[in-house]
Amino acid sequence: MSRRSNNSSGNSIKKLFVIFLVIALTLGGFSLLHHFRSRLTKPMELALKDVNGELQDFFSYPFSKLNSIWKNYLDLVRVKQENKILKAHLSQLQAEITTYREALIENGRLKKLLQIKRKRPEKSIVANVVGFDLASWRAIITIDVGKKQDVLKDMPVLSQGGVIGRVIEAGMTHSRVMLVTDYNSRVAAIIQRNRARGILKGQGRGGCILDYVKKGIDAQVGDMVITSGLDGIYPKGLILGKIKLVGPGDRAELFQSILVEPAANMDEVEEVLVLLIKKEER
Amino acid sequence: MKTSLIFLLLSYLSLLLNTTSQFPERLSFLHIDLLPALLNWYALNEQTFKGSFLILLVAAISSLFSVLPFWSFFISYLIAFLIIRYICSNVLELSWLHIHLLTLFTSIEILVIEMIFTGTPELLWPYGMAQAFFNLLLSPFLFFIANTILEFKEQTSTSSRE
Repeated sequence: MSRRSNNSSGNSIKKLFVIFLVIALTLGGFSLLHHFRSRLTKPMELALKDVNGELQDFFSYPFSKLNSIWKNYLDLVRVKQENKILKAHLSQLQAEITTYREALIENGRLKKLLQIKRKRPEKSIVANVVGFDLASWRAIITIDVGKKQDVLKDMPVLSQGGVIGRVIEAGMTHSRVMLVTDYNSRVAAIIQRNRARGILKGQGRGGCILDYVKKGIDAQVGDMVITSGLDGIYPKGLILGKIKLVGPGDRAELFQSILVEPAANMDEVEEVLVLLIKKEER
Repeated sequence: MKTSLIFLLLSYLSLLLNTTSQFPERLSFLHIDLLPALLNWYALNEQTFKGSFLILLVAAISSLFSVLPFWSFFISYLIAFLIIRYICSNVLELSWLHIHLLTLFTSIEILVIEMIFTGTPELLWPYGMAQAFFNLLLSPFLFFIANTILEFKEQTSTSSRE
């Protein structure tokens, strides 16, 4: 019995030994194969892979080119669409900016008019300039207020800078205003600094001249010219403009020739303030 | 009748354009005044007697847009109209250039008369002349519009008769 058991344990040891041997031989064989393979076949394999790579490169070139062209085309289409949308946005924004800017400028102008309105004790009304006279050489404008808004003939009209003219014709809803630069306009004026009297005459695009200021009276460039109130139309003390040029006048003449630059830019007047002063209140 | 209607309609539009348009800055004395060219076109296309009545009407409309009196417009427009009618009845054929030079003449004539009425004839040079030459430039454009409308009207009336 003990002999049998000795034999079986010896067999199992042999079996284990054989298994270990087989594993060792297999691993050894593998390592040897790997050794030989890496030494002999690897360069060939790599060379072949390189060749394959070159071929792949060669064959993939047109496809990659086509692919990139297609991608570029798609990008271009997308960019074009984006460009279109952006352009639309841009024009919309530009329009908005213009509107805001216009509102801002208008606000500034109206604020200035409001300041004048607050300073003046008389009732007044703001009007928009809607047209010009058919005779383009006449400095006459049409405003959008009339008798309905209590506007009457000979009421003074102011702008941000100062006096711009007077109402010469009042309709029900619109009125005509003769600007101080019109050839037929005459305003009784004084030089603010020395109280020298004169008549402000319109000279069309040339501005105005202050006439009937005697020679010897000290009139200087930059002096303010204001209304004297003697004409019975304009209240006293409204700004008419600044002296731009003082000339001696002709020897035969008794008066100086004084060029006055109107306080308001007549070409750019858009809103005006009509002083609602009735004749009996002047 | 068609020419009169076109003349009346375009005159009114021209007056509106003239009294609302303004060039900026130094050119602000120039206005888009199509009326002299229109008057020229009308005189070339209408009879003297019938045309004179329309001139009266257009002068009345013009005076609504200005502080100048009605008769200053009527006299200036009528003189221009009658002179062009006289030229038309005595000259056999007017070339393209002659027709548009007549606009220049009409413009100067109207401006001179109206400036005399406002007491500022000295403004004819340079402002009046600049405006007259500007009207000359606008003349072919106005003739094109008026002729196109006239042709269109004639075509529609012939097709409706057929």
